[in-house]
Amino acid sequence: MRYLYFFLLLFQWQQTKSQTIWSGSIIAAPDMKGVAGIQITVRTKTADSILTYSRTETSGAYRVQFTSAADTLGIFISGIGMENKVIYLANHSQKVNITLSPNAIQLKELKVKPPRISRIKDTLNYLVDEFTDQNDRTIGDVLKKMPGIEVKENGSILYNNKPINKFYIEQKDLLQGRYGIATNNITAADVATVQVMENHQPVKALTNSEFTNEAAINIKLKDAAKGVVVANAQLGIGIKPFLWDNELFGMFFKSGRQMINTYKGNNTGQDPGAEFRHLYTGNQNQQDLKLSIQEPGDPPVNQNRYLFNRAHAISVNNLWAFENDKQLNLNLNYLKDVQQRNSLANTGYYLTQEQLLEISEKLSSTRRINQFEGALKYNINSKKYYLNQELSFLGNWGTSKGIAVQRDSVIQDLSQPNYVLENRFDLVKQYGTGLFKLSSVTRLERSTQELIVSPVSFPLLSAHSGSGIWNQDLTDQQWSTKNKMSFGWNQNKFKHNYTAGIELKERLIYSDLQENNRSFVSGDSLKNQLKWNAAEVYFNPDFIFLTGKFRFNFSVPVKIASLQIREKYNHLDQVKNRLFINPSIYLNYEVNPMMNLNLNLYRKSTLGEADQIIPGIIMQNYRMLMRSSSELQEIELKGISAGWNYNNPVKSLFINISNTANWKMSNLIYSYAFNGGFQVLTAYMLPNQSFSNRLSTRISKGIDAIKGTFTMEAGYSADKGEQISQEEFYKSIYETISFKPAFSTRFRPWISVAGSLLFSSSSNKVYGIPDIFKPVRMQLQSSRLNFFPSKKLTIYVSHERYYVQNIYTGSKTVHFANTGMQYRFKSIDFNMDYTNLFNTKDYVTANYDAIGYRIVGYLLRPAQLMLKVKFNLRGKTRNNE
Amino acid sequence: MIKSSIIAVLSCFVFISASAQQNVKTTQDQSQAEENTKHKAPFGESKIKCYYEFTRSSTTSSSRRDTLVLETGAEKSRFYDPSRQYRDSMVRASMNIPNPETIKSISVFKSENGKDLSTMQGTVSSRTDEGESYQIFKDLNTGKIKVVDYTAVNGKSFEYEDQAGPMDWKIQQVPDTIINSYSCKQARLNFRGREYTAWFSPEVPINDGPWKFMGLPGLIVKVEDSHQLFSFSLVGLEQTKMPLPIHIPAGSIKCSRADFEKMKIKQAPGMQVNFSFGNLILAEFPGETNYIPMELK
Repeated sequence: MRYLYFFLLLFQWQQTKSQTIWSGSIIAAPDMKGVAGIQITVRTKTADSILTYSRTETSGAYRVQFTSAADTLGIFISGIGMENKVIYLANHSQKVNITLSPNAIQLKELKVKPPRISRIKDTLNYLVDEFTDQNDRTIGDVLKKMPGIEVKENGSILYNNKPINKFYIEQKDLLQGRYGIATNNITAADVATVQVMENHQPVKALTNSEFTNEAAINIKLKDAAKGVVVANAQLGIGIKPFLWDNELFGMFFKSGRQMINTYKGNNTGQDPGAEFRHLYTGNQNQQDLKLSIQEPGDPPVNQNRYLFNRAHAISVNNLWAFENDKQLNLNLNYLKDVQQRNSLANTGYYLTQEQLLEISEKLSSTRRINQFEGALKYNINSKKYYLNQELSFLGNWGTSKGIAVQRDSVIQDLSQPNYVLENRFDLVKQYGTGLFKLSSVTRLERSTQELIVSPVSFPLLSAHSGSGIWNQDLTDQQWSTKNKMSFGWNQNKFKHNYTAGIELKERLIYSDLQENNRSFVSGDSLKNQLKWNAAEVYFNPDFIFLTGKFRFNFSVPVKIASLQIREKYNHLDQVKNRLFINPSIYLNYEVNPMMNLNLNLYRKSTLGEADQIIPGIIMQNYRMLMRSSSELQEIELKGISAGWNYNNPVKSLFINISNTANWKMSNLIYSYAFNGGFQVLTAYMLPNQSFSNRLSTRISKGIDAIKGTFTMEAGYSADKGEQISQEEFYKSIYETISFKPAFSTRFRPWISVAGSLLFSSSSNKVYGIPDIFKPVRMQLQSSRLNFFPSKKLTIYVSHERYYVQNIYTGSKTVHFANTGMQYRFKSIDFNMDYTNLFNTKDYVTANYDAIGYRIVGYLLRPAQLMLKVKFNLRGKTRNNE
Repeated sequence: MIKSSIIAVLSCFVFISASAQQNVKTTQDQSQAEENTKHKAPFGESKIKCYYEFTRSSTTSSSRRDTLVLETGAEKSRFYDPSRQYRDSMVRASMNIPNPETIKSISVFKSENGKDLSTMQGTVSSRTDEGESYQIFKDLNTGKIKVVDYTAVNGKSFEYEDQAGPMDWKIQQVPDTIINSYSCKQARLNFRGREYTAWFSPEVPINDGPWKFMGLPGLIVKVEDSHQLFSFSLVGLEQTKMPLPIHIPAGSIKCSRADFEKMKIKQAPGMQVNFSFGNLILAEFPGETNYIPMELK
């Protein structure tokens, strides 16, 4: 009985302890209605553990039941759009009604982090902000860090090792291939996304019929940068000597109108004309016959280390877009520059096995560039119809002056104005499943060059010379028209395309080498009056077979070429008629959407150009006379190239391997003959073969965890050929191997690091002769560290180390270092740059040409300190956009 | 004439891929159905949009990540995969040829004699193993769920009801952890054959979560199963400026969860459509789908 009583007591106590029930309803002010979905939790006073929880029903009613030994417990009430409330209640069952007042509590938001790279069908999207560091100013700085995208020294952009075929801003091609103007000036902060559109066909009417494996880039601006004038102005001064670097940039983008205008001027070694380079492939200007002053080639160090300039560049780019895909472009560029170079060159030529000819020269030159180019383009690019009419003009009024010192100093004076006028018309029209294309390019080109050398030392000329000053005049005038018409249609998996074309070209070359005071009447051997008339008619059937994964392309152009060459002084009169069949096969296999294999086989015969058949002597520079055989070069080229591409945007992994091998047969062999230290270029009629192979690989991997990109480039090339030197016949092979790992990362918010290493080795072997050339080994290390002590301040240090193994004079290793800081105050950027800290004043390179070597020492810019202020101005946003 | 033959061909194809279903119509019906929903009364409204990264292991390839969205209010919610819905709507739209008279030929490829059209210009496609096709509609008051899903992108959609709640969560007495800046408590659940661990945050006063999960006193920030085959974690949260209506698409065939799971296991690996120069190609991706269900019973 006692036990029972005890049990009952215990049970009662237990029950009171375990069965606390709180219930009631939650109502909201001001209408005092029950609220559903309100969270109720019961917690201890310390609030660290949840005893029980519930939510209110539709009526606002709630009920919680719990067990606790505590005297007082808290009821926590919270809901979206409601105030949070905590009420402490005694631990016994009770009814509690609670009134809440609405309160727009802002929840702690979490910004969605989209992946840095995402793919939507054929388009890869790179989020610019995710790749931008505090020190990155322009979109070009950021493009370099995006995996899969490569930016070359000259500014051209490659995707998967292939040059892009279009660079759009807001889906429109404002700059027409001079996209350096955009990459070097548009601020990264104004760009939302960089899109890579794979297999991009720029002509919409060809989208379903002509496949391309090239990609295009589209720059998508942020909304804040659209519909307003965005302008930047920079003022920069520095020492030593007195340095200036000023810029003015303005852009405006809205749906029907695009504009970018720039002015850049400096004497700090930055070439503003580099931005005007046309970077689309197949658009390079034709090479014409050029006289030159003796100048060494460019050294492998950054241009701003050796370029002494005074440059001004203006670029005006306008685009108007109208309804029905019509577009008008006007692009004008002007460049004025004075460039000075100084170098010491040591050139060696093995005349025979034992006999080495060495030339040492001290070279200095001043080049004055005065260049204008303009283009007006009207374009309709609709789904069924494409029309393009483009008129362009290029004018150069350049002069150069140089002094070369071997034993005596020689003064060279060159003026070489040239003009090019070109009209281009294209038409594409769809008829049902058929396609009609028409294209016509007419081009007029004229250059008048004059080189004055004082004094000349060619034994050939100096014997007759009184004053020793000789003038070389050269006029090269060309007119050409290229027209083609094609018709194609689709038959299920087959596509046929038949093209017929005609090309006409007339070229006149006049040259005259004579003594300055004309005391000596130059003979016919120093003159040329060449007239070149070429006509080509061709027919090209082209077949494409397409299945889901395979793509097979076969084309067999049949060409009839007719050529007439007449030269007055050397009594040259030749007519050549040739029939060429130049077949090619292209095979592409898409293993899966991320992997692709391709193979290309071709055979091609071509006839040489007029500048290779100059029978009269031309003085090309102060120590080279040139004359060709009276025979025309005929080349037969056979080649094979293969590639493997892998791109996985999910893993940010891009791999590309390609190899190209070419066999070239030529009927002529060109050779330099030496005559008392002076070269004469001569062509011999001797059928010969050469072989070249290029292997290149590139791997790039983005590592999201450390916000970094790692790339690795490796290459091998071999050139085998035959040469004649001093009437002796040689076979030689030239090989290079290069290897370049690079990385960039921002693994902590306050620091970013970028570095690269380049190893290269080149060797030249002449068969039958023991190794006279040791391989040239070069190393280039570059690294850059950026510190971000605050959001406004960036401090950087950069270092470059060049090492050339085969230099016997001077130092093999050269170091360069730069440092600087950037501070942002509101919309003003302050920059301080101290370049070439070690004040390295010269740089020596070594390289080989055919069977000789060349070691050049360049004069570099000294240490310099620059201060720049940059204002970022922005118009007010208009709401009509 | 041509139009009717297209419909016939399309119907055949749908018949092949939609496995056991007999009563099938063209894709146009489905888009029509989606149109209709716009005029119906909404299922509920959402005030918060949550983005979850869903990692799903697969037997065939490495694990896959997708971003799924939970639109939730105090009472009702919708959970779905916006990119999958977008891809599938693209495939459906590309089958609706505006001028059927331009069609010259139609080729249809089943998954056995697989075709990959991805290299062809203008191909739109949707893979079954990429992303999630389901849309989950929850009533948080009653714990009742409606799932709208399909097994073939061009096929009929199905709808089943599921009494998933109340879920028997066990709140763990472990110290709070901070996940993505939210202070979280841990809870465990045994649900339909799998053990789950969830981290929820009372800071977000909503008892909702990804997929079918709900019923904790705070938003589920992370949840994964004991074998780590499935994992959802919150990567984004935003409050909408105004409450947004939640609609359930109409015109789906009602069935049971068990029936739908049976069909899902048999689904084809996905669909590609290419229409160029009058040639319409419909192709299933080659191979088979390895579907690992989250619910084992």
